[in-house]
Amino acid sequence: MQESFKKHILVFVLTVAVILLASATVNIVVDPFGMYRLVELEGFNDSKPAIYNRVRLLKAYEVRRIKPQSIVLGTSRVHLGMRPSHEGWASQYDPRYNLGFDGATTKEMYAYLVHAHKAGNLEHVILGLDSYHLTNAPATAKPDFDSTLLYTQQDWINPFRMAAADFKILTSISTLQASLNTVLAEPEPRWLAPDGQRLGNVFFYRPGENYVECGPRCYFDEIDKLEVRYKLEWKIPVDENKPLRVAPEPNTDPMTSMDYIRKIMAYCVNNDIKLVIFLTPSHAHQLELDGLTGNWWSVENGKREIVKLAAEYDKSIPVYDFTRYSSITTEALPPEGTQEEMRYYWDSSHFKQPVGDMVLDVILGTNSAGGAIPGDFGIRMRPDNVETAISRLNETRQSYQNHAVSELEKLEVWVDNFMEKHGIKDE
Amino acid sequence: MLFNSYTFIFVFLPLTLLVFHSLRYLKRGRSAIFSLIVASFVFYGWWNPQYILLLVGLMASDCVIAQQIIRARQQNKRSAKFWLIIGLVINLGALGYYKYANFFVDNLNALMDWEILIGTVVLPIGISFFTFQKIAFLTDLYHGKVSRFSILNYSLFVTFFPQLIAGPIVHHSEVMPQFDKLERIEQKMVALGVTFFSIGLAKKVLIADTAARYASPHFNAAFGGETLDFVTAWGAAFAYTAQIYYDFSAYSDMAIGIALLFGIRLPINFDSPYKSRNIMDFWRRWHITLSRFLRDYLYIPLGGNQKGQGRRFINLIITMVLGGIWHGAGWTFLIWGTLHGLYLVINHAWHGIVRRLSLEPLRTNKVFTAFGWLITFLAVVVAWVFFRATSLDSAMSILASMTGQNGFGTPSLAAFLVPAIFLSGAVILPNTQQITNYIPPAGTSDRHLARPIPEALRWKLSSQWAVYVGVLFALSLMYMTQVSEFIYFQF
Repeated sequence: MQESFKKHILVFVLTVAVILLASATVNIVVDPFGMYRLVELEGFNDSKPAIYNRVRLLKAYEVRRIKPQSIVLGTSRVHLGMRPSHEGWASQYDPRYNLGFDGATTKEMYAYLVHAHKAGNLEHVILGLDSYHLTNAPATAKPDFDSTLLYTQQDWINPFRMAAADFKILTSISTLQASLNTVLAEPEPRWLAPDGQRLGNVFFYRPGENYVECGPRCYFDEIDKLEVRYKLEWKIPVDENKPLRVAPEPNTDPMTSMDYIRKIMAYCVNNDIKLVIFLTPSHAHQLELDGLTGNWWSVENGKREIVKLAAEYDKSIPVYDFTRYSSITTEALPPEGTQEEMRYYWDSSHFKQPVGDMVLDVILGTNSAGGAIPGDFGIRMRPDNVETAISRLNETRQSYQNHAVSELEKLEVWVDNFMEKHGIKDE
Repeated sequence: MLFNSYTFIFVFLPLTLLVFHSLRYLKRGRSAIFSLIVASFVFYGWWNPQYILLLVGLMASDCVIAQQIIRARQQNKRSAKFWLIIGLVINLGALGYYKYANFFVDNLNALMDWEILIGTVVLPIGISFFTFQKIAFLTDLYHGKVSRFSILNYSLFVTFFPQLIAGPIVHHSEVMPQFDKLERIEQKMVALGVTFFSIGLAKKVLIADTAARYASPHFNAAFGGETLDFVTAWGAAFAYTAQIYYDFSAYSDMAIGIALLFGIRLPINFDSPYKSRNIMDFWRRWHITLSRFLRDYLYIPLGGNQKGQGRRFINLIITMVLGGIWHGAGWTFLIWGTLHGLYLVINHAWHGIVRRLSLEPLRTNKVFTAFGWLITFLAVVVAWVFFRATSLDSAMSILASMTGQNGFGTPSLAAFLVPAIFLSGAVILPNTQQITNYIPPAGTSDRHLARPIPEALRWKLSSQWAVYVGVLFALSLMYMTQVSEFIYFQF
């Protein structure tokens, strides 16, 4: 017996709706990526292992909910080291949020800046940049960056984008899988603070973490080796007889990394958002690796370029430079084979919270650290002192190289080995 | 815009349906057709709006040429042939330039040690498909099979978005007459359309994309210079055999389903090809609309089987080689086409032997037919290795591995089981048109009416079937988070 067309279509639509609604309900309740935080029950969904790889997604939703008045943007260095609960910062702006995430590019930072501004009343932005941001390399975004999760400048379209993004995530089988994993997950210490900071004191001490298993010095060395790869892999010559395994994605964005820094500046100025830029206080090994891998020129040029850009505005944008050789960034490494910890660094890229506190003290003119901040730690760079700062950088570099001979010999060996293995020629 | 995207399913398609059926309801049939043409341009321009200009330019020149052919025929002038040649040169010229310029220049440079630089010519999506449709139309005009046409209907025939970019390659005689009857659309067609689309979406998202995960890493590894072992190479070849069938037939099912939502029946493109018992049978079931185009507009004009056995074999090889490089400008596609040409020659020769030695009773022998199926299937799998491989070297390397030259390897259960389950489905289960008892459009010589299946398996306008299809559609949506492109978009 054939039924009516209308009933058939109605049953079809209802079936689809019931399944999708059921999936969405489970995902809203369990909330594996921390999108809504409507239900948080201990032992049920308070431990959310899925956010480990979905920080960009989580932060897009956190910003919508928290509507921060002040944010700090940057990479994992900022994510780990910059504390929104810093006393000096807290007194001026509220709510504050750490909007840093692993490997953030300037293109992504710009998108999240617009998102945070459109989400609420953004008034203050602290932007932490690493050396590789200050170049004219093509602007890129990481594979897990999803622009549909973010507010854009086209206000009329934002409600539709948001609804579509929610629908897509809530009805996805991978979210359902993540929900199941969340419910079944063993409780683990919370390494992500509600204000967006990744808590190094929790994160690095989780069971099985390499920092604990191998020890702080060993971990530092491991990351240095990885950094050698990051800084050199773009120089690996293409072997025409052995094509790339996967064709690189065509980059359709004609803009450069520096262009997006310019866009960030213009956006803040045009929207009366107070912007402060700082160059992150990575360990001196990072600068040394830049030198050993032939990228020293880009460190110097980057500083000149950012200062020049920041001075183009009527009320110039402050730029603080912590990417230098100071008594903090040249902290000696613990002896090999020990479990001794460093005071200021997890590894050469990631500084610990006390360093982040000092950065905020310098920027905000406060003194939460209690003691005096070393005078060589950071300076505000302007067009009239940038060349002096660069000269000073080169002098202190020389002095560091004279002092840290054995540490630097190792770096040199790793760089030489990598170049030899991959056929990279000296320039 | 991809069929398996949220933008298409939740925005583009509902909006287009709303406008189209509203105009139809208001008895504005021509406006409804016009709305479909506009929607098709939006659909096409989604990738790269500049190619709309190319499409419009080619359509406009074809319209002028078509009018000239009609006028010349009415006046019995010989200039009809001239205009046909102009039309073929323009259409094939555009296809040739966009598709083969880089390949031709690269090989010329390699051969002559020249350094001609022409930059990378980007292939406009769908050009291989709509070029063939337009050629068939112009050729039939010249032969007097069409004596008049409306520009509106012609524009929809070329641009109709469900089949614009990856087929089925429709023949004007099967769709243009339908455009004049859109005021009477059976409601059942819409329900049928939803079913076709849902089955297609499930085939793509649940099966083809899963099969790809067992094929692509190994083909990429071979391209990167790695040597596969026997087990891995066969696993990858089987996985790709499953992927390409489910991927392409999914697209065709979805195209047919979407067209049904607009009251238009498209021809079927697949008829369970992996059930074929010989290679001739395979080509009657695989990419049917391409096969019939090549037969009617290439093989038969070359002389077909009318000029002796030797000439027939040459015609078969030429047709299949050209069919091969239609898929892409590359030596791997050329070899794939040549292989299938040789398969067909062997198949025809074998049939000749069977006839001559009066061995016809063998054809009903179960062991013989099973052997026929197996040898056909394996021949197809081997040819797919060339089709999928990114380079000739990697294809040869995988085939060497498949002959056991690079070690046996450790069998992985999933790597064999998953493709095996998918392929068993393709060999045993009924296809979409059998399940839905789909009736293709009238108008062409081979309508491929579905072979009947038991009543219990047949789709009906019932709540039970609505629930089945609803579950399939909802599951497919849930798996759609990782949007992937259809294989046939690149051809």
